[in-house]
Amino acid sequence: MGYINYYFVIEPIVNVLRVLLIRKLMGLFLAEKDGKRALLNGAYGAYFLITTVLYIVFGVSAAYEAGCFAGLFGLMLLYDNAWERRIWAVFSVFFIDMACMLVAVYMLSDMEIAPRFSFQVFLLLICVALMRCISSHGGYSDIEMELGRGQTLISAAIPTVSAAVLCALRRGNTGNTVSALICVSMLVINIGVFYLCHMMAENYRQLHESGIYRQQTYAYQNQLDIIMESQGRIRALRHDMKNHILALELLLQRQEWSEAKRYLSSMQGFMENPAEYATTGNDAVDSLLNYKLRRAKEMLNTVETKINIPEKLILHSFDLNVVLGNLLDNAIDAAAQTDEKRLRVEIKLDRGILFINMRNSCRETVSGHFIRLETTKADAANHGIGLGNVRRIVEKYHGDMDMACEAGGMEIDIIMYVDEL
Amino acid sequence: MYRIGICDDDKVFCADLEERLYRISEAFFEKVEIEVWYSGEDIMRDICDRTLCDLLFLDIELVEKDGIEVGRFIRDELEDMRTQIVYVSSKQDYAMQLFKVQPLDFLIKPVSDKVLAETLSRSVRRQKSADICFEYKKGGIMFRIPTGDIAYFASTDKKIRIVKKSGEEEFYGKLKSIADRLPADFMPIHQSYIVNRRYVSEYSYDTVKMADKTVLSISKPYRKAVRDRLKQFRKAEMGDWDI
Repeated sequence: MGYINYYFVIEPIVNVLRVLLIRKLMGLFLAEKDGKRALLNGAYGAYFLITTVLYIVFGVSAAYEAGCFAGLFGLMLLYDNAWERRIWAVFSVFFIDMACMLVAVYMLSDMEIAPRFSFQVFLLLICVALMRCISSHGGYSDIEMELGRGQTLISAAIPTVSAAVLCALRRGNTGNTVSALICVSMLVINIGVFYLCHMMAENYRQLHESGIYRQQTYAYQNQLDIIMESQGRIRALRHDMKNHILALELLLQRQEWSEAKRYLSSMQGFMENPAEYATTGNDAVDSLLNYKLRRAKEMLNTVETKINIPEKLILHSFDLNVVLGNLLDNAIDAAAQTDEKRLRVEIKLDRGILFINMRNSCRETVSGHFIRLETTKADAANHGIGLGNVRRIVEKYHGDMDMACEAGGMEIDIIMYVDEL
Repeated sequence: MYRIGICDDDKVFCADLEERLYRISEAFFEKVEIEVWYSGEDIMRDICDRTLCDLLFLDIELVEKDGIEVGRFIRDELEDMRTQIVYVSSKQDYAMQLFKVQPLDFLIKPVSDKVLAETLSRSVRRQKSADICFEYKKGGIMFRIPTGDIAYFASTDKKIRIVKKSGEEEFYGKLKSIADRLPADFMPIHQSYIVNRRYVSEYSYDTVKMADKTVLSISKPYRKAVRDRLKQFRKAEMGDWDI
């Protein structure tokens, strides 16, 4: 009787720890949104209650495992990530939890339940610590953005199959030592795969980054050309200034006002460089906008810009490139598919906040407000990453991004907090 | 009566702008008064001893005291957050300091009638919300303060402190109950603060710095709402600039 009481106390306490670890583990795969934190707290509480009761009533059994899996599945529904990613998370977490449990069962088969359960949670702690170590290298969000759907599904297949192996192991008559060895090996394989996935994501990220840097180089090259061209025009005008002044004087003497006006505006037209759309004095923004807007003007009918930003903006030019570059590319491509072919860009800094507003005409395939947008491009695996990257950078600056699509127009609003000096 | 000021060293531009403003503003006001200054020193001398205009078109590249200095003088020295400053320039590259003055807009010369009309309508919209009065009771007596003079409300215990452009007031009440009575410029950022965004000189995601250099924190549950409000404000001001 004394044993039962002691067990009733120990089991829930250790299970609290186990549920906390499982939440951490889920967090390595999926993102917890601020607004849903309270809901998740409740859900994990319910998960704790269900698994505690199941463990006390059934012990290590098919019913308990089924309950654990169903619970994880339910928890997964509360996260917002892509479904293949959530499946990967559920199976990984389920497998790791199960493997730890079975290692404890097989290795400490002659012990009481309480120390066995404690040992199981201790193993889980080691696994979680290891995996956290791995993922803190690349950061969770990277792997989310970089791994495509297919790769995620393959990654998900490994814990799924592993869980199946463990189930088979429970049905068979393998000896305890061998079973424990198999469980440990499966754990090692899974954590290894997790590590490789992160490495792969890191590589993808670097690949994308170098792509962005390459684009930045093109943009700077383009800007340099524009500046040279502008300077050339001004130099040419100055060269002929004497003649121009003489001509103007003559026109004024003859009181030919309209002719003089026309002459002046033609001088101004000569001086303006048609390829120079943005002249904010902020080199990073100017080069990127001039580079992208040249393409926009070639492909679209109406391109409007209104840009009020200071010459120096405390924002990493890489980050700005990702945000503006991706958004402009998307907007230009979308607008080019329509008849109106319109684009409007507004960028404004006001009291420490950078506002970006982009509107473009678009085909009516989607409408309403949304968080995620499916790509319409043929190569789906490699697209749709752009917006994810934009979102990541916007979040880095504690900002927000809204997209709305209605009546053949697409609008993106971004706000970012920029530290001013 | 709406008072508009123009400060630019280009006399031809001033005359042209003045004439066009008289014409365009007919649609907005019954009576309008336009005053012109040709240098930064002139305007700074004139506005020391009296209130300035409602809307000021200010050239950035003035000869001695430039647009930055005049703007800073208005905001920092005179602590005048009501005058709406519109920077006018032929260049498009702006120095960081210009943004600290919180201009209503930046206009590039030549300025079209359409842009002028838009600027006027935006200015009027802002002015209207500043003229609404906030009423509160203290010792059985009703008090009225123009909301344009209120920088923020802070609540401590059962009292609400009204921090104004100059001075403070106090009365018994709850912030929640006054929140609905305030114009859209006011936004709650904390359980115990409601700020007037006209008096915010700088935002970061977790604090706002007020014009008097006080820093108030935006508490966690309010951050998302604050971001949304800021976006709304932005869009409202952008509204008439549609394609």
